[in-house]
Amino acid sequence: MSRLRSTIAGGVMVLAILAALAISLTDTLEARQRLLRAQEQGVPPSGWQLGARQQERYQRFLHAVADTLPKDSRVAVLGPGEAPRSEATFFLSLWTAWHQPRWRVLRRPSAEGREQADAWITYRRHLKAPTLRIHGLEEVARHPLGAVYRRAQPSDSGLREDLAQENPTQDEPIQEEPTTDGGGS
Amino acid sequence: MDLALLILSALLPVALLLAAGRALLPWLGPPPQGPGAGLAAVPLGLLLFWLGALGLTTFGLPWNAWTLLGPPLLLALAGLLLRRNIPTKAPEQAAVSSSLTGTSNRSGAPVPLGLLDVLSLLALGLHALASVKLWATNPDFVYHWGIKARHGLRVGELDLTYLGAGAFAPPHGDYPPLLPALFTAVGSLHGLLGGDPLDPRPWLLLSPLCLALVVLALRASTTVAGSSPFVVRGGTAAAALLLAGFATRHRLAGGPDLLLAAALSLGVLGLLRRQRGFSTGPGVPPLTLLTAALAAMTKTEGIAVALVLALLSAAYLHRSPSAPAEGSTPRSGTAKQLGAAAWRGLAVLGAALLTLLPWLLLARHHELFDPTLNAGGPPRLDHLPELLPAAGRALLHPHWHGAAVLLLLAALGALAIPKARLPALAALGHVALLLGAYLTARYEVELWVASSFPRLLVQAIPTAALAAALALDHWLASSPKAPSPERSRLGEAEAQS
Repeated sequence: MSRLRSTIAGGVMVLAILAALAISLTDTLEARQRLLRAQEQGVPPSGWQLGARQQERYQRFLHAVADTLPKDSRVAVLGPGEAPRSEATFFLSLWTAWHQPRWRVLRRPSAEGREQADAWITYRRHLKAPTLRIHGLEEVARHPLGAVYRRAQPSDSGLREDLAQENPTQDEPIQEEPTTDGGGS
Repeated sequence: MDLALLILSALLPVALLLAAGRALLPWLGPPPQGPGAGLAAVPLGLLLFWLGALGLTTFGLPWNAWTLLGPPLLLALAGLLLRRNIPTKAPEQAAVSSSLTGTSNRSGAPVPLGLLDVLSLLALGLHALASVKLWATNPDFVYHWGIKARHGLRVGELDLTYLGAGAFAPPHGDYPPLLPALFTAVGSLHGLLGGDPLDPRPWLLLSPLCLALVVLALRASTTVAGSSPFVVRGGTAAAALLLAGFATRHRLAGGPDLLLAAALSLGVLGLLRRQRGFSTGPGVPPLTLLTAALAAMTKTEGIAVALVLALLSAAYLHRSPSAPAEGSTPRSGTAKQLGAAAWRGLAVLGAALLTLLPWLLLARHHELFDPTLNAGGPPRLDHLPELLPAAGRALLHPHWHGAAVLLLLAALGALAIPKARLPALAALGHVALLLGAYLTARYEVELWVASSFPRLLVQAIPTAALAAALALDHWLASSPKAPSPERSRLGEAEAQS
């Protein structure tokens, strides 16, 4: 009886080791595949990860416009055409803080927060003159993937409104480019 | 060359902290001996690092490789010099060294490295590969832990004004800054060695090192508990492979969870060592006190780790061989034992809270606490109907491959086996405390559980695996062995528990 018990316990241990070995190997391969999948076109900022092309393209855009804003600037980020409180804008803001740690990035996108910002950064989107006038912004850098707008004067409180209520077609969305990347900027 | 530089940048700070911890270890009490004794140097080194980093912040001094790693370097050098001049310390050092590499069999003698240990090394290698290739990066590493470190490297300090910038601050500015400080030290050193200080890869290599700490703690624990060499090596290898797989698949590199898993594992090791007579002296073993402190300075959930260790210290240590009142239970003795148990528990909690206190004061002064966080409301039992199904689904998360459920069930069963009871209680107690924290949710319990509980389970699973391994060892021991008088006494103590 005790021998049977011992054999079963030993068998369980051997099985556990083999199963854990299989799990470890397949999980490592799966993690590698996941990073490859994250390279695909159309992955939203919530799905970006370090080493993936989407965020590297965003990094190059930020790097290209970084010198237009001084250290400690309070920055609000706007994603491509979504409502300002969207999940994509939230994660885009966090990636902005990661890539440009010298700025103070608005963490939770909100209309009130944006009005306190020194500058707006738009990604895959350019703002048109009416929007700039409403929010008291002026363009300081334009890039094929986005733009930087600095506050020129306090926004007109009578005209201020949430971008979510604006007609998105007022501004110019930038279509996503092919995934061949090649620099993006 | 690039890879060698990355590895060196990650290993050197850790080696320095370990050496500094080892230099101070003899001051904490009797010379540590037996399996896992030297592991106390790790939390001690990290505690020194933590206090140094907070001291720099308090006095407005910069954070860089020199200021953060200079004091541990000096301590390590001083330790080396002192050791050379005090030959009587030599046997103690030998014990510490052997405990870091070897373990022992049923009677506490070292078990040499075997073929199954190669699997543990393979697990660490796989997770290191995934970490350095960025396949396993924790999202929160980008969203707040790493942002703080990158900002710190840019401005040369932990900028509390930045962390307290309200809507323009990174998330969770109130979290203890141990990880950002470690990343800053590693990044700054990487820069000094010619690399890019902001390159996250050497920071992420700290993750397999935390996993290595878990593996060492598990190997030492199974040894201390008197397991057979097969269980020591095989149990450790199975746990290492499972944890490496989960840490990679669930993307834990750069996050705090493996360090918390190491803290719980080390704390339990400290208690097992005392229970088995490998450490002596009154009160709580230094290893358990230090790991409670380590848990508290790592992240909020570390308080749960400290609480579990406090409860176990209170409940278990009075049965240690060194306890003078063992066996005699008159009423006055019982009251005395209860008082001593309460003190032991308070000592562990006190170690954790005292370690965290300087940071709490700084965070309060700079208004870093975020009142909009989901956690921290009054506990609400009406969350249970949402919480329990969500927790069940989290336990069955595909990244665990069913292992979380199996191991926690095994831990539940292991409660019936005296030698496995302590780690089983630690694992189950920690899971229970984590679940209890969800009752304080202000909103969206289900989403909160789904998004965090599968990850948090990794803190308790190594200890559950330890309980399972000890239970298996109990079953493997097919013929009763003639116990030594010492082990016989321990067996009686366990049976009473």
